Formats: sequence, structure tokens, C-alpha cells
Amino acid sequence: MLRMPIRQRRDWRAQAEQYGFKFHTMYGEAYWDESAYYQFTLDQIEQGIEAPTAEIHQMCLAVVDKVVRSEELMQRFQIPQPFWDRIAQSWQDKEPSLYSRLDLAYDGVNPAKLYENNADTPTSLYESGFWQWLWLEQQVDRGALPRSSDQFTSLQEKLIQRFAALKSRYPGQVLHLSCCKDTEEDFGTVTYLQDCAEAAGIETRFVYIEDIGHGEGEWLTDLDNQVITWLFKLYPWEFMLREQYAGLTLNTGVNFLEPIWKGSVLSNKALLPMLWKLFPGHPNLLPAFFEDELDNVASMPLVKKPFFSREGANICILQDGTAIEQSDGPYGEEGFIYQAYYPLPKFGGNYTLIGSWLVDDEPAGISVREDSGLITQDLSRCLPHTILN
Amino acid sequence: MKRSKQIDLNLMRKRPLLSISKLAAAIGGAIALTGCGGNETDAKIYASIQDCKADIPSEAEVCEAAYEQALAESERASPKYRSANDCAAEFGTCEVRHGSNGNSWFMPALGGFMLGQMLDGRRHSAPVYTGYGNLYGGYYGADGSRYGDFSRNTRVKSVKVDPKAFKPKPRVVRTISRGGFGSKAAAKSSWGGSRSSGWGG
Repeated sequence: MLRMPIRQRRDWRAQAEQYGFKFHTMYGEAYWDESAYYQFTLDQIEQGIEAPTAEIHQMCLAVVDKVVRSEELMQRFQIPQPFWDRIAQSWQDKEPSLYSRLDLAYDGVNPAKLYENNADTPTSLYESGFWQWLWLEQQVDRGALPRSSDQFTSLQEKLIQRFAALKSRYPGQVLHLSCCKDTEEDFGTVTYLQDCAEAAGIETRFVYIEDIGHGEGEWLTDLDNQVITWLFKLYPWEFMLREQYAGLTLNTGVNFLEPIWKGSVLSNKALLPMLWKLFPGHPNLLPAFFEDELDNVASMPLVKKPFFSREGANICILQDGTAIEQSDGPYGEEGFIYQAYYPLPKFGGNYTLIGSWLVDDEPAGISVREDSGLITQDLSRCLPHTILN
Repeated sequence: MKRSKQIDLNLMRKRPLLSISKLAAAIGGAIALTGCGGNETDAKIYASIQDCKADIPSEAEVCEAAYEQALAESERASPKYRSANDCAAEFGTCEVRHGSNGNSWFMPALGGFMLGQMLDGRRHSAPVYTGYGNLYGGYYGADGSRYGDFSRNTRVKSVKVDPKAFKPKPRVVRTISRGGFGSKAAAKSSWGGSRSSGWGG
């Protein structure tokens, strides 16, 4: 695993314009950075990342199976009581999932360590599945990279296959896709998924989260009063279950992507201490604890994370009970978990985080993000990668 | 290979290249001109069961089944309005419906039904409505598609329609309220001033 400088494609901004990639620069800072790339060996990709990703996902599903059978654990996961039965049912019915991103600390040598599981609303999908793929094609065509270069990015292919499978499960249904207003990045992610769904032959419609209506008969409706029966929402389940229309999600005539079992249990930091309980000492896991277990924990540096948080907000790194680095944010009212401190590897002054994608339960590629600080936040940069043996 | 074997770049382009956009405009024009010849199918619109039976006397039971089917599809998929006036402005004659919790809404009365034969040989029917105001003079489907001209004396009307016209339309209901999702995101975003990157992570 090497960080390699490379000449940028001269016309990449013009191409970004053409392909509708609008959030390559955010808050006035570069988000897409192709002045360098990461080079992996095939072994690093397959043994170091791909196999652990599949295994971690299966371990996470084992946690779901345990949590949905226990009222005590549903409580610990801060899931509102009126939805416990619905979540258990959703798991029992095997309501299908679409995609997830595991955040891994990986240095190319030591076992990858799971930081967290973005199972409900992962973004950076477009730049991982399409934009870095295009970068590789063009850099090879232009002779800047060897012909034998490969990349771990089967996301787009797998997403289209997954949508085709979902289409036969919900024949003839219209898929509504939704995200919040005024979010260029989320809108880009949803548009990408809409393209993939349509490539699989699914009829789609878009509606903003804020525009969704409550229709007669406990339905969700779009702006044309059409009943929503199948909804991809890039909006966290933990928000939905605490808002005015929460009760409407109990209507079993509506199929959600991601399903409620996935959003409520997997995309919840309580997952991390539960994983450690079920699979203690697993090489790809970091020790993790609930707050009331800390008394029994040997002294070690810890990272304090809210049950629900996004983009590295409200994270605190603790050494002997003192914060050595922390990020602000609006999260934390539901409580915190503690995870053993395991700093990100550093490549040329940058802290590097691997996002490892799954489509349903199949590993489907990686994205590489760099941040100048230890906590990867929404100002981090996204870099392409290659596989070369 | 660990990456997608191929990706259709034309599908991914949101803004076509200049040369392609000119080409697309030319092709688009050609399609519009020949659009009527495509895969359209013959259908008939009947103002009532009686008009249908008079047209195809040997198939009286087909007329009755088609009417019943159109009526049921109309309940499910017709446009729904909060006020009688809004409905009447577009369709003239409207009917009131009452919901479970004291709510009521308005939908256009059935203006007739369309009967067509598909390639599979089966008969299909769909509800039609007669327009009023700006829509005056036309027969319309539940999704607003215009199927043909209508005048007061029209009892049986032959039309050519896209076979999709007989596909069940998405269900439409009266919307009681909007904005019940999104408040948590709004509350979190006011914490850090404006935020453009969204709620994914």
C-alpha cells in the first residue's frame, strides 16, 4: 500500500461538469483529489480488505439476529419501543438490503480494524463506484498508468445486478428515491442510485424528504399524491423514528431501502460493543464497551462516540480520561459508546481511512479518504486507488 | 478483474457533449414525427355500458366486466382533490368520498371507460374522464394522459393509444399533511450554520 503522486487529468473539472459530479469541491476546499493515488497489491485487496469485509458483515448480521430477539438489547440500542415488533418482523421477513460502507483502519500490513458500519445512509458512492473508475480508465488510456492496473470498484455493476434482483421481488413497483433539500452531495448519491435502478429497468420517481406527505389510509405520498410503496431514503432511520410521520413507517405495504432492521441496528454505534461481546479478540475488531462497562476495562486510550452520529461529529479521543482530540457536533443526546483507540495509518502527513463497500452481502470495492486530522470528517479528501502486482 | 467490466458512459453523462446534443435534437425530432406509428393499439371509449353493448351486442358481459374494472381502477388511481371546486375546475362533475377519520375528498366522476385488445388477445379496460375548463373537449386517463377528443354527442369513440394506457396506474390518495419528515435534520443543521453536504456519512 503506497501513496503515489501522479499528474492530474487536465480536463477533469470539465468532465466533472459534463457527468454532473458537482460536489468535487465543498466549503471551498478540494474534496476530489487526484494529485495522488494509493497503490495496493492484489493480496492486500483480497486478503487484507475484501475477505475481512465479508466476514465483518456476517458478524454484524449475527448481532442483528441477537438484538431483535431481546427487548433489553433493543432498549440498549435506543430504539423507540413502538417499533420493536416491526424491526423484528422486518428481520424475520429478510427484508432486502441494498448497500453499506464499512470504515476500516488499514495500513497494508496489519489486520484491518473496523471503525464503524455505515449501513443506513452511506455517501461517497458516486465517486467510489463511477468517478474513480473513470479516472483509472483514462489514466491507463493516456499512458500515465500501466495497462495491467486494476481497481477494486465493482460497485456500479453490482448495484445494477442488485436492483435487477429487487425488481423481480417487487414486480411492477415504482421506486421512489428521496433525500433532504439543499444537499448537493446527498442529491448526487441519490441520482446515481436512480441511474443504477433505471439501468436495471425499474421505474423511478424522486421526492424530497421534506415534501413527503401523509395520505389517507396511513400511506406516504409524493407531491402528486401518489402512494409510495417502495422508498429509497438517504435519511437516517433514527431520525425517521423520532419524527411526526414515524407511525406511518409501520405500514407494512411500504418497502424501505435500507430496511428498518438494518438502519436501526447496524447503523448504530451500539453495534461495536455488541460485536466485541460476540466475537471477542477477533483480529478485525477493536475492543468496544458501553458506558456502564467501563469500570471493568483495563486502562487504555479510548475513543468516545455517540450512538448516532455522522461525518465524524462529536468524536472524542481520551487518554487516561482526558480528551487529546475532539470534534464538535450536534449528536450525543442518546448516549455514547467507547472504542479502543487505534490511530489511522499516516501516509505523507495524511491520515488515511478505507471505506469498504458492500452491495447486499458482497464486497464491492473501496474508497480512500484522507484527512489532515486523526478524525475523518466531512472536509476530508477522496483519492483514487489502483491494484498493481 | 476487480472493477466493473464496463460502464455506459452515455448513461452517466448528465450534460451531453455539444455535438451529441445536436444529434440528439435531430433524432428527437424524428422520433416525435414517427411517434404515432410505433406500438400503439386500437381501443374504443364508451360513454356507458349501454353504448358498449350496442356496439358489441354479442359481448355484453365483456362490457359489464370492463365497466366494473374501470370503476375500481378509478377509485384507486383517479386524481384526488381537497376541495370540490378544484376538482370541478378540471373535470366538471365530481364525487365526494369520506375517509376513516372524518376527512373527505373529491374525485372526478367516471366519464366512460376504454376497452382495448392487447397483443396477448386479452381485453383490457381503463377509466376515462371528460375534461372541463382548460381540459374541455378531451378524454383523459387517471394519470392525465389525453386519449382523444370528446363532444357532448360522443357515445363511442375509436382511439389509438399506447398499450401502457391499460397498465394499472400508481395509487393516488388524498394527502392530509406534508412535512412530517425532516425536522431532526433541520434541527441538527441549525447547529452548525448552513450545511451543504447532507445526512449521509
